Amino acid sequence: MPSVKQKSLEIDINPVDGGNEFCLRGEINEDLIIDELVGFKSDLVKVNFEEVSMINSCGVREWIKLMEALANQGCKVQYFNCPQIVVQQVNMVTGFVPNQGEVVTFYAPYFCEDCDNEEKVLLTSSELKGRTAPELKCGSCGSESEIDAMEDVYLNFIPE
Amino acid sequence: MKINFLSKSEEFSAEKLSAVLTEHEVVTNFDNVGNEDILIVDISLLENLQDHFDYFKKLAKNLVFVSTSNDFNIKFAFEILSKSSPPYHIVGLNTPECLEKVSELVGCIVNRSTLSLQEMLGETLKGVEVQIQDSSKISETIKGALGQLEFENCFSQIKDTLSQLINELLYNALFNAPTDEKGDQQFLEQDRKDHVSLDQNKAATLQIYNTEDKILTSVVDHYGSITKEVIDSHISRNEVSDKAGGAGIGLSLIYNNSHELIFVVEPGVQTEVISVINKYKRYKQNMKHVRSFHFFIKE
Ligand SMILES: [Zn+2]
Repeated sequence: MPSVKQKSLEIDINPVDGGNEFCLRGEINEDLIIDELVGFKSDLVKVNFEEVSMINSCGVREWIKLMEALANQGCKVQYFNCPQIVVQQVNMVTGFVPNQGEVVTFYAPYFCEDCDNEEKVLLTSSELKGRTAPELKCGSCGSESEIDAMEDVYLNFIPE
Repeated sequence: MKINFLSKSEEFSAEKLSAVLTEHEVVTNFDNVGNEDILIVDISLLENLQDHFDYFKKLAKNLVFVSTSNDFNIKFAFEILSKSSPPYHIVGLNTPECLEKVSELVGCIVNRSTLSLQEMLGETLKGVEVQIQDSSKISETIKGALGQLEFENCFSQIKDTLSQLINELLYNALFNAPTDEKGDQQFLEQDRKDHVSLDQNKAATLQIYNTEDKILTSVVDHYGSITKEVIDSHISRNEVSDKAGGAGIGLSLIYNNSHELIFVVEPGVQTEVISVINKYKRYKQNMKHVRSFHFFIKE
């Protein structure tokens, strides 16, 4: 498994069915060097954002450049395990998800009124009915737990 | 003070505001714009108020834009405000705190104060204060500062939010603020991969105060170079720039992560940017809280 170690970000590259998976670990910022990643040519790149701890505006710009370079090679991109900080960029910045890309799974904050338990729940975009998050059972007390965000804003990236 | 409040909303009316601001005369007068001390305009009416645009632009006094809808068209507001004289303010989102915020603002305009950190905190509180002159230290400075604080009664994501917010504030202070003797920006087009280092007497100051119900972050640079035009053209931007230098969306990230964003510019001397986040256990409440933007020029 090749691994690319950059100043602020480490990227493990694993072959998966139909392409490659990029597992990111660290911060996406101005130190991201995209040339090292564009070389892994494939039809599909699955990006795993699980361990991304920070993303700043310059990182967003470098990331968009990477996505454009992959798109120019005809590569399709899928995003997995997007934490809240990544969902914010997805919703806010034009081009953060390229045209031929999609957010497959992402985290949403959930809150239980009964026991004040806060959880990050992994949701699958295709399983949502429009921009409505499901009610779930609280992981701590079993009561009903609901999404702790304004759905029309947080789930804005999901097609209506 | 004579306040003209142009609104057609029942829940957010001159009558309601008048009940809070008992010392002032609050009226709604669409036909006599320009003769008030403070003009408050409901953004949702802007499209119907085309005839008044020239007044808004020329008003040298005090202009406050409010939005009573959740669909807060900030881009539109900034477009209009970009041609008005400072000071100006925008308060938005339809929440109960909106009225409260506007009345606080009127108090501030009346007293000619600037919503400074001292005014907001009094003198009693202790916070974290760090000087930073070297951009390569931004990341560790933020980690060090936030590591000293515990944000109780606040949603768990708060440290990530602050970390991003402070990152953008410090990049602005170290890369965008510095000007040379001619007043030209020194590092505007510098590749952000290359670091900059300022003289010690020009170091930026980061302060974070964690109170019972608010988190206040302030970054001061010693250049006072940011202009209203730059703010107006960047604050609601959602496309990255392909020019050399910054990505162009930092200000918009700062605004989106703050409940109150205040710029106090002393031209050629210093700029203080203050971000206020009200503490909520629930992230949803944080998202719903009224947002406001304030710009002051200190002579
Ligand atoms: Zn529970």
